[in-house]
Amino acid sequence: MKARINRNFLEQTSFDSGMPSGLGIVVHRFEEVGEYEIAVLRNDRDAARLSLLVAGERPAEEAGRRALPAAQEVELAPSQVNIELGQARRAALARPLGELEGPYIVRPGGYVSFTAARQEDASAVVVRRRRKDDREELFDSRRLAQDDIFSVTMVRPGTYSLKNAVTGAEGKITVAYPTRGKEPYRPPDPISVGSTDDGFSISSIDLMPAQGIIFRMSTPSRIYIDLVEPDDGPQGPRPPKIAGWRKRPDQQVATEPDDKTSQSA
Amino acid sequence: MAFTDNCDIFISVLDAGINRVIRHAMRQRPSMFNYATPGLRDRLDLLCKEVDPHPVVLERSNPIFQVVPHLPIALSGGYGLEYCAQLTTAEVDFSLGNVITLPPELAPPMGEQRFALHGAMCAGLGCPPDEIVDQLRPLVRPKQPVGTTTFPDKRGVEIPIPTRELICFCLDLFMVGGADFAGASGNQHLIGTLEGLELVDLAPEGLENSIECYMRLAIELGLLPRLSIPTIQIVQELMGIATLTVEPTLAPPTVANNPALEENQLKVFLDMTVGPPGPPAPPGPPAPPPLTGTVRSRTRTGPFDGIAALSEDAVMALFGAVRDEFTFSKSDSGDFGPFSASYSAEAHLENGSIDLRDDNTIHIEELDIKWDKLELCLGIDLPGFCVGGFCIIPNPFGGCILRAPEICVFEDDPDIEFCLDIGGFITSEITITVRPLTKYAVDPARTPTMNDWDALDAGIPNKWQILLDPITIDFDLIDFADTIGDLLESALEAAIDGLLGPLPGWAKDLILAFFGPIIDLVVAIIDLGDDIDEWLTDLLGVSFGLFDLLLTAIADFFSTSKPLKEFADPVQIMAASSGLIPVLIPIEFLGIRVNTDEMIVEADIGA
Repeated sequence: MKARINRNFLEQTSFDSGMPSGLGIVVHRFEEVGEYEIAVLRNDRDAARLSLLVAGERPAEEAGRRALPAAQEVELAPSQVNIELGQARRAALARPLGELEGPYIVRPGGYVSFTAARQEDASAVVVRRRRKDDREELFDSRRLAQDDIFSVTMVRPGTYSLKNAVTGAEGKITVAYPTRGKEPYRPPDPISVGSTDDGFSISSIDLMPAQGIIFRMSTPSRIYIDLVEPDDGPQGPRPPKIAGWRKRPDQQVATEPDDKTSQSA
Repeated sequence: MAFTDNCDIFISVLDAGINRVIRHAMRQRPSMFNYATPGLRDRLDLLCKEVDPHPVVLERSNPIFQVVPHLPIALSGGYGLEYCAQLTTAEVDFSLGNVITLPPELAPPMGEQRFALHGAMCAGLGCPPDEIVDQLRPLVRPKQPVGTTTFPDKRGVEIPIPTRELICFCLDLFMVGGADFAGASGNQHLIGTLEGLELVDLAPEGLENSIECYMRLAIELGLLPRLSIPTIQIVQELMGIATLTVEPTLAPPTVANNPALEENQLKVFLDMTVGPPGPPAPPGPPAPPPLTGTVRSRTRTGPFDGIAALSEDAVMALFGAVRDEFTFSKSDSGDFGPFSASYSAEAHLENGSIDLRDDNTIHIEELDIKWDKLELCLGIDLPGFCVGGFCIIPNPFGGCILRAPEICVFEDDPDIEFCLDIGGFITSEITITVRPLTKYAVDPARTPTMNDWDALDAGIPNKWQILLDPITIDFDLIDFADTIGDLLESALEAAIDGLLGPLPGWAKDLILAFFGPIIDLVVAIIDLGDDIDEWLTDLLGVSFGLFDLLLTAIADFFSTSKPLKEFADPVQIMAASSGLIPVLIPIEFLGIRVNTDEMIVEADIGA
């Protein structure tokens, strides 16, 4: 069987921390115990609402639900939960009106990550407390706050623009062209970059292909990364080959020797 | 001294064998040797010599004699006599003579390089007794002058005169002569030359001389040309090699006499040349499977009736014709864990050198296996890989609390399949030792009640088979061309290119970077090691057993599926004609042996 190539990773050349997708992800840490509502926004409107429970232990009545871990772990809430926005939004839409999808459960001090596997599912995320008297927004992906994290993996070689839309800070990311070596290529460890009041801690970032980059927020941020100038390598742009045929080496006719050169002295 | 010391093909026929053939012909086709008038059809007892026909002649209502018109009685105007003429004995003798006692007129004993023929002829006239003659009424008018009717009478015989007996007489005819080749080059015929003829005890001398003169002319101008043997054509057909050119060996100087009449045999020495093979003949209908025969021992002692000897070169030519008919075709596939492989092979044989040995074996060396196609396809599971997945938030106590999303490049481990035709890159040889042998095969469709003519009519005659029974066959893989490694790498690159074809160049380069040196990767997956020759040998020879299959096919080809030659038994020397049965000559024994000089086929003609 010839495996299909997952083209998502090849085609993502722009990243938005406000609407994480693909190889981009935003992470928020929840400290306080309580119930939260996660709104998945499409075009700035709620497209789905999810329930998040931050608790030390998993409620007994939640045991056995589809999204929960196995029975022997029900006593302890996980330290992190990944929410795939596309899947969560579709699940929420399938539920009766007003009923929240979830709950997703994480322990106090645990991390919740948001991303959409497919770029068309990219959505903004807003997290609010679920209290009658308190609808405070704790997290908005469109405006990441202190200690939030935005991480991307960049594959396409080229030069990218880097911008924090909130502060106006700018930078540049260069993803090197891959080279075939004697050993299989493995990306180096990710680079950590701070988004501060003074801009990015590294404004000109050099990455190897598929190397990760982790933005840690010290100031309100919405980070955009866009491909500005692709790098097609030393051979330049090469369009995909749809079909081709080459004569096998053993079928090739031997070239007649040049009479002049084949004559002996 | 070997038969083929001075030629490529030697053929000899013993005079006793020819005489056996004549006797078969006389019994199976008596009408060729006996002639009589219609009135004797029901009075075979009146013939001068009793005819001994083969039972099948009577069974199939073949005539005992050929009917001839009555002998007109001159001037009678319509009366005719019954008569018969029979060749009762015909035999041949080759120098120095042990069959025929020549009359003094032919100056016995027979000289060197001569043959003698003896024919005994009997004739009889149905002369009516006086009482019948007295009752016959003249058919001509009285006083019709002599000379007013034509002679013989144009009206023919209207009234045959019955007879109770024939007045018989027999004459012995003796001839001596030689033999020579005649005809255009490439189509020479073996023909007898008449040197002396004698009718014994015929008088007066003038009558004897006149008849002998007439007979000599009839024999030289009629009989001997008809009995000439298209030697070259027969040999070429027997050898079955389209490009074979056969010529009589020059005599002298190469051999003393050719043809030679000596040691009671007619000997023929032939030279041959094999031309380059022509274009392959269009495929005909599939041949019926060969019969399974059994070995038959000789029951007679003494010299063989016929001997054919082939020099080593002639054996090589004969072997070459058989060799060229061998084809091998096989394909298979297998799963070998981390990779799968399949092959499709087609091969034929070329070249080879023959060594005839005294232990009755033929050793064939340097028989090249030409791989018309040896396509080897490999299917390999390349390891997939993913990007992302790095740790965003490490756990200070070990491990990772949160990882970046991970996307795998392939939705499953990718397979690549690539094929390379390595047929032109393999040098391999076969060494075969075979023992020639003959077998006799009876068609299983033949029923016990069938005689040879029934079997011939049904197309299921018995067969003598000449086979090369393989004793040992060894396969020698001489070499894989050095460039086969390049071929593998090129095919691999092309396969990867095909897998990643739809991707832009940068993506291909990225994936290839992840794979690393692809040839190294594949080498590791298929466990190629350092020696591609060894790997290919192991894969094709051990894992697939291809070379064993080839050897088995060769062994089957020679031993059972492809007799070197097959001859119907009995051999037909005269075709059926106008209801007459064909003349069939039984081959009592056919043997084959080799020594260091030649391959010898020996045959006995059945009684």
